[in-house]
Order: sequence, then C-alpha cells, then structure tokens
Amino acid sequence: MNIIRIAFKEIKSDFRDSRTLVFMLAFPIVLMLILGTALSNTFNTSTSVGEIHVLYKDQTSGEFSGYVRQFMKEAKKSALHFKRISGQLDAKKEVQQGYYDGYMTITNEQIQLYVNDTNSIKGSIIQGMTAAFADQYNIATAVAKVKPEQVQLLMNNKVQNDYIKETSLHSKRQPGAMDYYAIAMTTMIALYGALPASYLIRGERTRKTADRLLAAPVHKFEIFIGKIFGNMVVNFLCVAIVITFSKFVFKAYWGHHLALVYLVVFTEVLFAISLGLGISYISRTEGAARTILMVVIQLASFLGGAYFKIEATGPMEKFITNLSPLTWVNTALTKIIYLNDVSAGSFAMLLNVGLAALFLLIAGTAFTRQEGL
Amino acid sequence: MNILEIKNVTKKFGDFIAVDNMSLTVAEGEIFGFLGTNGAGKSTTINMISGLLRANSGEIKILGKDIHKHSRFAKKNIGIVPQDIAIYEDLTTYENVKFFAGLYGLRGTQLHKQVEEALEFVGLSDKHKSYPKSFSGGMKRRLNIACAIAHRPKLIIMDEPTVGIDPQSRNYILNSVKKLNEMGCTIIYTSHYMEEVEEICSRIAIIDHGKIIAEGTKEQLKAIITNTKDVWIEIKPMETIDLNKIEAVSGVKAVQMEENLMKVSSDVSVNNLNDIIQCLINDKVEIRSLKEQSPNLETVFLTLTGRSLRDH
Repeated sequence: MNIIRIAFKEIKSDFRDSRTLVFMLAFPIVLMLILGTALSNTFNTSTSVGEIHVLYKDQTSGEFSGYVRQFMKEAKKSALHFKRISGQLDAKKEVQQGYYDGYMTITNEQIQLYVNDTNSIKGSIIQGMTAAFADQYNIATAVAKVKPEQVQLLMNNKVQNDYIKETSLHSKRQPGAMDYYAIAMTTMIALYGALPASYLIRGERTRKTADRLLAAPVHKFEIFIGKIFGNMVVNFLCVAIVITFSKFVFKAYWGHHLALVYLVVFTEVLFAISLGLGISYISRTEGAARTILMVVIQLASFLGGAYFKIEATGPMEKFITNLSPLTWVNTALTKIIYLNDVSAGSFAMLLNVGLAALFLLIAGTAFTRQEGL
Repeated sequence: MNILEIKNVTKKFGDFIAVDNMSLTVAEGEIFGFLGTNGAGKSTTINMISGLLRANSGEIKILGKDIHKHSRFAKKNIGIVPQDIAIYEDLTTYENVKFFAGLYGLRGTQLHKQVEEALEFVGLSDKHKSYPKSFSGGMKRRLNIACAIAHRPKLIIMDEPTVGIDPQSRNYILNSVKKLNEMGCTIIYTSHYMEEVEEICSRIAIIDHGKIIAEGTKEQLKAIITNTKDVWIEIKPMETIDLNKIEAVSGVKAVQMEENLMKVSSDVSVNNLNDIIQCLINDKVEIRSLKEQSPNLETVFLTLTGRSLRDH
C-alpha cells in the first residue's frame, strides 16, 4: 500500500511540474514538427518525372505499322507522348537541346532510339518501354512461325500496359520524415527520462524529506520501488501521449502492432530510469550525475539517429551506432511498424530489460549499503 | 513509565565517535530539553532514536521495546519535526499532511479527520489548498509540525523547530509544544535558544563530545554551578581586549565577548572584580557599565562546555 501511496505522490508531483510537461511533452512534439517538416525532402523516395515527349519517324508498313500505333496509344496512358517528325525539323538537335526527351526511328526491321543523357530517368523509361514492345513483337514473330492464328491474340488482346512495375527490396511502405521523427523523438524522450530519474532518490535528500520518509514505518525498499514505479508511470504516460499525438495530429504511421510498439517503448522507459538511478549512485554529486547522463544521452541520440538519419555501412560504423540504445530500439520499432516483424522487438526488449536489471542492481546495492536514503 | 531508554549507546562514523556510550531516559509526559553545540552528537542521537541511524553498540527502547526489533511499533509512536523544513512544495498543505500521515497506516475518514485536526492545531486549517511555496517561514514550520503530529505519536522529537522565524510564530510554536504536552505527548526539544528551553522544558540534558555531561531539572542544573557568578562589563565599542589576561585573573572560570559586552563567569568565593577592572584599566579599555547576574541555563551550559550554545 505504501508503494502505491508513494508512487501516486510521485505521479501527482511530476504532472504538477510544468518543467516535466514542457520537457517530456512539448519538447518532442515541437522537435518532431520542426525536423519532420524541415527534412521532409530528405525522406522523399519518389521522383516526379512528368510527361515524356518523343519525336519519331515511322517508316513501317503493313501489319507492324498497326502494332506501332497501338503501342503509342498505350504509351500515352503512361504520359509518354509521341510526335511524328515534320520534314524540316532536326530531331537529334531538338533532343540535344532538351525540347524532346527522345527521338525514335521505326522501320519494319529495327527501332533506333536517341535519348538525352542529361535526363537519364526519362531516357531510361523510353528505352525500357521500347525494349518491352520490341520483345513482345519478337515473341509474336516467333509465334507466327508456329501458330500464325495466335499472333493477333498476342498483339491485340494481351497488349502490355504494365511497362513500369514497382519492385522494392523492403516493404512497400517506407517512413516519411514525420514517420521517422515520430519514432526518433519518442524513443529519444524516453531516454531523456534518465535525467529526472537521477534525481529520484537524491531529490528526497536535497528536499530534506528523506529523513521524514524513513522515520515513518515504511521500509526503505518500499520508498525505492514506489518512486521508481511512479516515475515509470509518468514517463510512459508522457511517451504514450507523444505517440498518440503524432499518430492523430501529425498522421505519423505507427503500423498495426501498436501494443508491441508500446511494450518496446515501455522497456526503454524502464532502461532509462534504471540508467539514471544507477548513474546517480555511481557518481558523487548531483552535478556529476547530470553531466554523465547528458553526455550519454546526447551521444546516444546522435548515434541513434535522433536528429538525422545515420546510414552506417562499415563494420566499425555499425558497431559504434549499435552502442546507442536508440539504435536498437528504433531498428526494432521500424521493423515492427514497416515489416510487420513482430519478433524484431525481442532483442531490443531483452537488452533494455537486461541492462535495466544491471543498473537497478547497482542502485539497489548502493541503496542497501548506505544509511538513510 | 519511561517512554525512551537509551543504554550505553555508541555511534561512530569511521574513527569519529559521534555518540560515546550514552545512557539516557525520558519519562512519559516530560518536555525534555536536549542541549548541545553543533557537532556535540545531538542530531546523531535523535537520528538513532527515530531509526534513521543504527547504533554501533548499546540499545534504544521506545515504550520498553527495542527500536530495531519492533521498528514499526517504535516508528508509529514517534513523530519527527526535523530541523530543516521537510515538506513537498508541489503538494498542497492538506496533501502534505495526508501523505505523511498515510504512511503511518491511517486510512479513509480516520486519516481525513486526523489531518484536519493536525492542521487545526497548527492554525493552518484555512490553508488546505494552498501550496507551501507561498508560505512564510513560520507557516512552513507549522506545517512541518502538522506533518509530524497527524498520526498522534506518543513521543514527538522537535529539532530546532523555531529556527529563523518571527517572534509571533515562535510563540505560537512554543504554545503548541505546551499544548501537545498537556494532551499527553512526550516531547524531546532541542534548540539554540536557551530561553525557550528554560521556558518550556521540565528536564534537560546537556551533551558535549557525544556524552551527556549534565542532566536534570533546571534547578538541578543550576545547582551544579551555584559557585559561579557572572559579571557583565560594557566597554567602548571597537576596543580590543586580551581575553587571556582576564581569564588569567584568579577565580575566573570563563570569559565571553559579544560585540562590546564582556561576560566574565567567576567563582563566587573569590572576590576578583577589582582585579578584572584593573586588568581592563591597564589595557586602557574604557568601561561604560558593569552588572552582576545570578546563574541561568546559559551560564550552566557555558560553564560545563566552555562554549556558548550559539558558538559554531
């Protein structure tokens, strides 16, 4: 009962502290808004190509001429516009100067394509579509030798209209800037919870309330657990509010396994509080504890990609970034959210809980050994 | 019956002996004054009684029960008014008292009733919803007391409860102490204000270097030093005096200087006033006035410890 009483007092005090609310709620939300908006272009993976204009000289005849017209008609649906060249126009010069994206000469035997390298995307699209058409025609020619009656069917009914197909190595959905910073800021602020935690027990001594608490018929560990429990509830609630706010106001994507996301974040909150407590017992003064924690949190935030995305490629870079708790938590959350990989959270949760146990052991041992709080 | 028994208690911090084989008893219904200079061992003793520190040897009993074997029983019967104000600034007056009283096992209507009574007792019943940050020093001290008495302890330990407050609040607190005593509480009272102790305490112990050097009623303590007389000599401000010369005068026990007022405690059987005056004249010190005083508690303390209670 005393544990709940102490925890409840802790929750009440923390939520009355405007600094807690500003730091744990307003700070991540504002940062999310600023970074998510300012760096939105960095995360934009789609490129607008626009309309493609191709000049052509049609020297085909007979049946093939019909297929060519049909191809051009279909290509128009993909914003690829063909324009027959007029007599006096220098097509190659037009392409060179960028007025057109390509120039094509079509005969019954071959298709010659001339594109401008300065716009390789448009050139590649024209090239790809033309190659696809040529392949289709070659197949039709081969079929004609065996079953001529099937050619019409192949060229007319099965006209290829999916010339461009999107294929991704990862998931179909990739995080945008706001999605990325929603995760990054949430996990960063959860880690910042280590700072107030370092003041959790020390604060009672500074406030002189420690003796009064210990003079009451309360076991030392009831105070210890009650305070940790209260602080965990406050930090987790703050983080949950940040997640909910980003989901509904900033429309950040949190995937279909929100309960698991909360669970991973909860273990991070536990880790952060334990880290703060552990450091407060290792260091001699309040100032020293704060300095150590600030350095650790700032480094972890930087390496964990809280401010900007870090792509670690080399083994040493990967090793260093993996030292940040934010790296393992953010990676787990990204996999849960974007790959629906529910098992991805296990490693992060295990590390969080394991390290939390270690820091709590340090704090608990020091707490037991010393007289008073 | 003795509410508190301290028997051969020693507390060491490394090589430093803070409390040295101390024995002491406090009977139920007493207001027990505990005097000592800073570092004398007063706070260590109080912390051991309230269970915050553990003695290296000896035993402490509350109402006949060992405080470590019956920790909950002992703590439930003790109320601590610490020297430093120990309240939460982010909780209201009512919430502060309720929180601490709740730790003593009080629940529901009983808790509410006793919190109300405690606030009423210290005159803060109209400040239920106020936060202590808006309080004066005196009001905070009163709230500090309310937090210690709401669970109705039998023994209340008050460690300098009147430090740094206005005379009105001090009188209020002193009257509260008397009232609590009338209601059946035993009080252990420490203060640097000797006149407070003299006014309210029925029995007094003087502690020095971790040992009780004198114990008894005011009269009993004064009787220890009846052979001492005090002479107050007012001198011209800014004069420098060699106190060693005065101390060397026959019969002089202690000399103390407070601004331009010199207090000389001497053996009553020795007539040394002329010698003291001569000493001052030789040093070309201008005497403004001279007064002889009978011994009080301050004199007792000074005589026994060689220091004033307010010397740090």
